[in-house]
Amino acid sequence: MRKRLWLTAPLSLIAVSALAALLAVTASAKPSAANAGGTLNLASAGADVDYSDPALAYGVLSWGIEYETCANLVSYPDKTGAAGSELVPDAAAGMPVISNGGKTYTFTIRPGIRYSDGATLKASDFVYAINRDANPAMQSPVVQFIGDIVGLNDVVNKKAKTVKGVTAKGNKLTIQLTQPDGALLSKLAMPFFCAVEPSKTPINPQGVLTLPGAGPYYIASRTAGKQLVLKKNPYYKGNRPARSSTIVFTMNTNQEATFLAIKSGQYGLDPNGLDDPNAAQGLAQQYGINKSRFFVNSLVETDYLALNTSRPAYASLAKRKAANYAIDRPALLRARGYLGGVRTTTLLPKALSGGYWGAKIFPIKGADPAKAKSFDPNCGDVTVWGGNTTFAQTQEGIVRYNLSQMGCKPTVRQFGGFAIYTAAGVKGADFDMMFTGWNQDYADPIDFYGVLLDGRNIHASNNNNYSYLNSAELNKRIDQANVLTGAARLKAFGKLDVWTATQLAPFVAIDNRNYRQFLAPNVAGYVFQPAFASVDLGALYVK
Amino acid sequence: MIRYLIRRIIWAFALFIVVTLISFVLFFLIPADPAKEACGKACTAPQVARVAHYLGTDRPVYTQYGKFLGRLAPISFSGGFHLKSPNLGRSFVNRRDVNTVVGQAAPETASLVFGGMVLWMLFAIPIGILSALRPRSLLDRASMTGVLIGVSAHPVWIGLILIYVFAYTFHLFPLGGYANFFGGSLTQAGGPIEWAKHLVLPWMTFAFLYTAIYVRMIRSNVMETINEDYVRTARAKGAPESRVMRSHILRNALLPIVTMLGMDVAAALGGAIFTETVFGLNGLGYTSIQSLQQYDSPTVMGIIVFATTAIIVMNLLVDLLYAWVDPRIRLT
Amino acid sequence: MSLQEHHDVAPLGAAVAEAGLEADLAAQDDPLAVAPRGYWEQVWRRFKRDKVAIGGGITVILLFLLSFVGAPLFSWWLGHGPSRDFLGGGVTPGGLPLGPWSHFKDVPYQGATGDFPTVFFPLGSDGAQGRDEFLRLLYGGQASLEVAVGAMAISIVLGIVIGAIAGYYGGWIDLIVSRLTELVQAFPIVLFIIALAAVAGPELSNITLGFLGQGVFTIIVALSVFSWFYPARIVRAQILSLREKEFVEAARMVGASDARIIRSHLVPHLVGPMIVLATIVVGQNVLAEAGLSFLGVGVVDPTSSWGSLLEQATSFFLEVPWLMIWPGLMVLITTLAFNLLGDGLRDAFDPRSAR
Repeated sequence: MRKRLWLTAPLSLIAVSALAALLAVTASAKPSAANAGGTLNLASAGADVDYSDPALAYGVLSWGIEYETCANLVSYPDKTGAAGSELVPDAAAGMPVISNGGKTYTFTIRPGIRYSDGATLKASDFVYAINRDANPAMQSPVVQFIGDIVGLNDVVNKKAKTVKGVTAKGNKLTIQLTQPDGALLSKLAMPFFCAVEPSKTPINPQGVLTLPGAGPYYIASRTAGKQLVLKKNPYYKGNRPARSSTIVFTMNTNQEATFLAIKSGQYGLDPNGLDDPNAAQGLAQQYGINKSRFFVNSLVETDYLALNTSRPAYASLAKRKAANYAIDRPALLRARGYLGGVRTTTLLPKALSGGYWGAKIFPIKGADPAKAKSFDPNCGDVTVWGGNTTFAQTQEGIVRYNLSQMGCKPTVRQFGGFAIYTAAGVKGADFDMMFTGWNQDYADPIDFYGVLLDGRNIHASNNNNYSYLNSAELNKRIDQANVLTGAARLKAFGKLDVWTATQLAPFVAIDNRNYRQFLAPNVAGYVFQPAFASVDLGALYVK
Repeated sequence: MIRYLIRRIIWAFALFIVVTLISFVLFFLIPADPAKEACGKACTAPQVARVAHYLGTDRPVYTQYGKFLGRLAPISFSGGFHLKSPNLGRSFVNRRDVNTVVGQAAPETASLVFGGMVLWMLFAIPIGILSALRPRSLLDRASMTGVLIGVSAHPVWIGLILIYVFAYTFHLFPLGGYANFFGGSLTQAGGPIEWAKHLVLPWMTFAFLYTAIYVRMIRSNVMETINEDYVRTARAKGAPESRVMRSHILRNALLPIVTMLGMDVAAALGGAIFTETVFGLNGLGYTSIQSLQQYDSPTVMGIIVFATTAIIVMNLLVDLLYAWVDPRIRLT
Repeated sequence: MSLQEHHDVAPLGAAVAEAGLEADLAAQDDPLAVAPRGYWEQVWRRFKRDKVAIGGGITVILLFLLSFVGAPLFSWWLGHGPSRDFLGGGVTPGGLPLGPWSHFKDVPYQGATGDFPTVFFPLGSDGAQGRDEFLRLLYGGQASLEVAVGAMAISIVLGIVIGAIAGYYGGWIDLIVSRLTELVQAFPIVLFIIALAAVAGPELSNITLGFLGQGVFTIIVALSVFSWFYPARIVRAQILSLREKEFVEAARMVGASDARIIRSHLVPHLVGPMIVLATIVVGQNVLAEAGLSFLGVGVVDPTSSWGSLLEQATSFFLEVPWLMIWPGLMVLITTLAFNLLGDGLRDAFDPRSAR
């Protein structure tokens, strides 16, 4: 009997301690509330910024942060809608003087701008920034956009030390191009062209973690993978909002937990957008849309199916039109959850279409298999490429169903991650239809048409023109529109877009995605910045 | 003993080389180009080629593996023979040092695995022993039923149900995530209590399966030992029951358990993937899954190196420990 | 005694095979030699007495019937297949799946007017595609069981062949096999299986051999690569002990070939342990499949499996929690049934292991 006795001792000890631990744990601290007094707590579920260095940052989350901390030559106002997509001078005193047939841009830097460490912003800081971008040791992604700057590629290819085409003299900054570029100003609004203080931002292939900012905020601290802190720039004199004194991002939080923490006010919001898309309908019913806590804005983005014109399945216009009739756009959109986007039949998002957006060239209420069949009575094998996430599989299932409804024999091939782009970018890849999408790098239609449909850019591999369309007529029209500027430019591209969808139909446009946002009860001042596809962080505040 | 030790260490090295080589070749065969992703989505072919050269992915696999081993080796011959710290390279995705990434993820996994281990041993030892001493009793039958359910339910499912009931419905615990053991951050409270609070459900999920396995193992080991000759002899010689229990039965029954524990913990350090995924713990398992999805092979390789080392070293230690404790084992 | 022999790292953190099973089996005497005819009768008699094991066996048979016969029958009765989308009626306007026991009109798009047939979903729909969760659960059983049985068969056959060769010939062959086994154990297995499935998936998942679901082959391969060594070790130990027995010596003396000795004297002794192991491994593989498909490296849509259904359910975790109950329950029932059956079989084959 004694053996039982001594064995019960540890057992009861365990039971008691387990109970005690449980009590201690449940009775301990309640969730900490969002700090009042100017600190805004944000959570980024399942993601960190890729880089905090403006020369390397290349993501929606990091650009939202760079937007608050950067002084660019030109930028976008802290406004929503059309007003937020209009370029305005930022560190420049006014719009540049363009000369030499559109090949020389001269900026005058506004005096009195200071970084968060008190140093004054100089025109030469922009020269340094662009040289730093081009430095081969940095391997900045910006080089894909600005090969037209004189001497830039020489630096990238280690043939020169400095970019010849960018010079500063006093408060004047001159940028010279090899050929005119109607989109240069939109490109210069990207954070890659953020003014940086040379002594505080050395060449570092891993990127600097913190740096002084000349915008309303600066990146005060960052622990990669965990946390990033923005603090108000004490020397900022501009009129951009900076309502919270500190903004703290907690990175890589748990998605469901973040959604509920925002609901209860522990975090202000998740800058990546709504964490539980399936909750959208409930939130819209409870809080209304764009009223108090639930906000929906359209992104400058298009999801579409690329139709491979180089293979028999979609070589003819009739077959491509048939595909456009066969696809059930609302069902595909519903897979994104309630208010996940707006249906469309053209490639350019509303903000870039010069008023031509919304042309219902193909049915947007649902599929029309009968009409599809009339265009393509004997559809055969169709190979569809897509992703392998649950969401992608849902959409692929819908397309498979739609295609078989019109008599095609679809096969779906699924890829993990970005493997699909590597595979589909090889000329001659054996897909007929491919799920893809495009969001703007800079706010200009050429970022869509030049990259996605200009046939002269087709190479042996790494293509983005997944339609493999090389239409002389389309190329000519792109060139014609590309020389224009301002409103005429958008109008020309909008018209071109409608023409392409009707006359060439190299894609099945599905939707323009929405940015859905859910706010904590104690947070206000929500503004969506469309050009950066981000919540305007400086405008937010704790009530 | 020394000869045995040297042979085991050489063998451990060989294992390490083969495991990392096979893993490396596997990732080399991935049909996705990390250079395209690092370059940017609008990059043209020559731009992508330049980035590929920068990342080193344009070189043949043996060169890449050689460079990988060279970075990893604690010695260097460039500029004369000298010692250096092993370097796992940089992530393709955000160029972070993989050493740092692994160093950041390891504490979360270790918290989960070691905490879970304590939990399952706390339950498994008494339950296993008691049911062995009273076979076919109510306790034994109940624990055997529990064992069967434990080895049959999927940890993911257990985790999801625990979250739904205890975290979402009754708000007893957080839904997921991790709190630092030492100090918090600006937005999140830290310290041992927060840490434990975040880990209670993951521990339970993780320990569910292992409790079942260990109860069964302890039970069968104890039952076997009870009938051994030396136990009978000890009893016959009139040794007090508690002493027989302690120094004859438990000592011999639990010794193999300790060795298994070592190896299970080593295996789990690289593979608590399901629990980490369900609870959003940014440990080694979850990080490796995320990196795998982004084809970030340096990070995945770093975690494989860490996990393989843990397994090999733990196996070695356990063998040596066992040989030391139990002289009957011949070192061959 | 080497320590590795005692331990086994189970794939994907699933149940570790019976502790001490190997020791039991190795210590087994030669029951065939004693009573060659009565052996199977005895086994059957002992098995029949074990009501729990019989229950497990019946459940296993029912699960197979339900998945392979029941699924098409129910599909015929309900009038739609498991991959049929109900894009209009099978989803709520918010994109959420319908609840259990739902009747709805099969409209082509939401808001369409007219007269449409009514559809019945016993367990509601599976997600934004509006497919029948009940049918996908039944057909999912096909994929899960195909993976479990397929991977088991490959690993057992490989294990028997490798283990038998190693045990019978010994020497350097044995050394290579032992070293290979140690190598496999040094891998972070779970991580590696996932990596293997992710990397090889696009190439392998379209291999269906005419009857497998898409992606099933990938998981079978990934699971088999790492699970042959456990049966191999059992077989090797068994053969090592049998090799020296008189009846093998006798056979060798009368001039029987190696192949013949292995086939007619050694293999029969392995049938019992292998049947037991196979049963338990199938249970583990059901868990492993669920794990892989949950992580998205398993079956390829429209093939469903219990793991893929569980994964799909997690995106509706807060809104439609019941969706995650069904697939997990099926996994639990199946693995439990195989474990009960395996335990019963072991007791029947080796009465001394009975508790």
